[in-house]
Amino acid sequence: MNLRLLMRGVLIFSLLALTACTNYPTRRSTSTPSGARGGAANTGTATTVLPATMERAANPDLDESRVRDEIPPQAAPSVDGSIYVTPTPSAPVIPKSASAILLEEVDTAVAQGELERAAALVERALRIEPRDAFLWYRLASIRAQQGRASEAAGFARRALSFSTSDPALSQQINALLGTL
Amino acid sequence: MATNMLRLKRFVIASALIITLWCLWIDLTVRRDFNALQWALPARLYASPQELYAGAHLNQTDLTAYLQRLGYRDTADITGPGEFQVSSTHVRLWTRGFEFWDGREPAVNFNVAFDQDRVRSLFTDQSNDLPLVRLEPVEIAQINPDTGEDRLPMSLTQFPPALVNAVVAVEDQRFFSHFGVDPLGIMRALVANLRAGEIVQGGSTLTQQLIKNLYLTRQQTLRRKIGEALMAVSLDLHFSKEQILTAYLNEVFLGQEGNRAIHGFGLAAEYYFARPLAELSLGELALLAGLSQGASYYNPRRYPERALQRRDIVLSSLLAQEFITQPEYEQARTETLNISTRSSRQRRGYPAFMELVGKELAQDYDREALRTEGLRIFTTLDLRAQDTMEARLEDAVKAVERAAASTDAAHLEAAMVITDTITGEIRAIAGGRQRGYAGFNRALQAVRPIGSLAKPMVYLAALESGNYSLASVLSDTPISVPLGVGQQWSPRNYENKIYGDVYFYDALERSMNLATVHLGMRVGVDKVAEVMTRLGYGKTVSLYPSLLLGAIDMTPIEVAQMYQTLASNGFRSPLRAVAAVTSGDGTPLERYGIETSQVVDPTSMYLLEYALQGVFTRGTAEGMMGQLEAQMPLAGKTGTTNDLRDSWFAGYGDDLVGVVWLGYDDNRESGLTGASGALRVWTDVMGSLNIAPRRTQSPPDIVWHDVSATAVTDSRLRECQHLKSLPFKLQHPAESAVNCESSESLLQNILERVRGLSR
Repeated sequence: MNLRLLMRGVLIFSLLALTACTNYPTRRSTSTPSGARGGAANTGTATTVLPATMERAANPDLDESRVRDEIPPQAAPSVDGSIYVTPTPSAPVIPKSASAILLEEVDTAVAQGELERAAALVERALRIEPRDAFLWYRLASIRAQQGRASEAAGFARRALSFSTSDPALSQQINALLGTL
Repeated sequence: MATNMLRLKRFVIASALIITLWCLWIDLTVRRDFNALQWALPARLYASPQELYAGAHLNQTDLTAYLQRLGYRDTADITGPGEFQVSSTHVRLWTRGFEFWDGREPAVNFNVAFDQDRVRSLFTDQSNDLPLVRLEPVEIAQINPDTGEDRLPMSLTQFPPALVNAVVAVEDQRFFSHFGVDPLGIMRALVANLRAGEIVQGGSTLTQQLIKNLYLTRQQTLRRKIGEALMAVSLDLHFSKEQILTAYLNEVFLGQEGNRAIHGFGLAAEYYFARPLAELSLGELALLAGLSQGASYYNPRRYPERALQRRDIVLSSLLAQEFITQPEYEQARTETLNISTRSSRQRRGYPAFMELVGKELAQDYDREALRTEGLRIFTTLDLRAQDTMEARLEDAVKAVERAAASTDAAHLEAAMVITDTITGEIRAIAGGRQRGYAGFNRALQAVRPIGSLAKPMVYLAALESGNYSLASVLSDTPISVPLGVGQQWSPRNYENKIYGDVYFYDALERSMNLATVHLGMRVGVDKVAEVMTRLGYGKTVSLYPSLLLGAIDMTPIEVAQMYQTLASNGFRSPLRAVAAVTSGDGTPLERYGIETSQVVDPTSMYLLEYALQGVFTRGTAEGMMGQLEAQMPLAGKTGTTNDLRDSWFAGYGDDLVGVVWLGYDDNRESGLTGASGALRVWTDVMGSLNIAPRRTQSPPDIVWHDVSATAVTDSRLRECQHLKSLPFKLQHPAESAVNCESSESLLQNILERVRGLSR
């Protein structure tokens, strides 16, 4: 009796785990309302990726390959784990990602009122990480600040199309869309 | 006697008056002209700059090739900007810095390590990791003034002192003390020349030479000579030595390339050494200084011995006048001539791409501004994509041509456009099969029927209508469409096949004409036309039924615009070739940023892409799967027109969209289908570019269902032995005749099974 109950529990748990694996991204974008963002975790692209050929296995509940396919075959550019031996023993420095450093410049430009330059900097970051929802959102908010509402809406929708795995960011983007 | 004296007196007074007036006039002219001296400066065009960051797609060979194009020197020990050094584990380089639209990129001395085809890390010698470095952009072309004069003007302080000393030492030793002309200098030159038996020194001052250059006086009459001397005196009187010297250094003629005249030392450094003046050695500066005596006579590319002899004369003068020390002199004399080779490709430039740039610029800049204001124009050209495409195209077309076994000498022609999937930036353009082809630009101007490239628009219109799913069963059977009084249009399939009942996705993947016409007539030709407009086709679409099979003429770049929208999942971004413009000193002017608007809902796009990916896995492009194995999945569509006149392929990965057209200029039959022609060329080029696989995200309202493997319309014939799993819009499941699932969702199914197990 107890054993059956236990088995049931184990089965349901593993099922939930499987569902969780298939529905959530392997990497979450961390985005804070202030727009400041950084850290090594942001170098890849947050995606819930579809099976390689948009084909679904006949029995998704049994197919492990589906789960494997969640990880892009071309791994996100690694910025940690440098192979170089530091001459002086120092604490390992986690370098900022290219887009994080650009976003800092964007914030400075916005603070100085140089909105078009800020937009140019976001676009530069987008050429490096074209599927980063936050970058599209940042561009949308800059255009909104410039009073270019229709362009802002375009960027915001683009941001939404990449933010399905980040509900908090999606909420922010929708909030921006609501003001346009 | 008295009258004679009077006559003489009158004559003297009159002459004096005339000479005075002449002098005054010369003085006025010189002052006016020199004050208003403003050179017409050509606009310079740059390719998209290479960004370096951990993870960037770039290997060591790519980087060194790029640096060499920028004129960086491969040295054993880096001492300054514009140099690089290759070691077994990394490349060390010292960038020059550049004034971009969005700000200055500083000069940095750092190392790049690679991980096969990617950058692993950037780090300085202090082991600090650098997140991002942007290299200088490669100059790809310029728009020259009508005079053909080109120069890179600099201020006096920007010229290396060694160069200024060399010029003064060899051309006009007493420049800083004379009054514009130098009688002593003329005497000295005369003596020196007589002694040497040839002309080793000129007698005219830098000021006189400047006048000669500015007024372009060719014939050397005495009156001219005197006029020049007077002008020089006037110039010296009214302007400082520094002003005159700066003007001279920027004005002097130093070389000729075709109809482009190289003026000033700033440009001469780039022209002869492919490096900025500030990076040149003493020997190199001396060589340039020597050129002012006769740029064609001492042309170092043509007459290296003469150029070297002249350089040594300059060095001797520097030594004699104690501008340099004996060891410096000895060292500079041993330098070998290190003149850059200008590859023919660089000179040819990228005419097809440039034509597009010119068109875009014409909207904001007039011709004169582009030719005279020294603008810097930043384009979207990806040098690697363009060069790879040009390198592959000709051979790829040749291979197809052979396969098509065309009999006579006529050339099968080609056009190709490559754009960035996300931003709409144009990465590469070919206007013909030949490398650097500068004639008829087929990518922008050849209007050809697009054939089956129109089909995705038919299917997209159908999906948007809400009445169709990928599992809708279409009828691929003969159809006659009434066109008007007594006229009928009866399209046929390729090779006259009839497929009968087929799935929606299958009809698109295998490009079935009859099923498409059936579908399109139901959905409405107007709806299909409207989809084309929405995807970015700018001209009016005539509403003939034959539109459904692509009886509409478009240029390759117009096709690229529509497929760009498909590739970016329904977000339309206007294709652009110009990114930004700055003034010559880097002041930001116009910027042409990304624009985007959502024109198709994500769910319809997702369903359409399922079939466009199927084109590669099951459809008309299946044959190329093996060659593109590492790139799969990709999406695309073949296009073939009547009697096999045009062969098209438009396809895309996650990063790039590529459109290829093949055909004959006289519109004869090519014997090629989209698959046997353009697709092969596309595969060759896009494979070489390592196009990235599609990783399209599934919208939340997509669900997968099993349907019967065969398409039937009658539920009684439903056969669920063999299943096919397809994506569906949540609200629009499969029709009952093919639906092999009960109404419950998959998760419910699983839960059922689990409950069954645990019970």
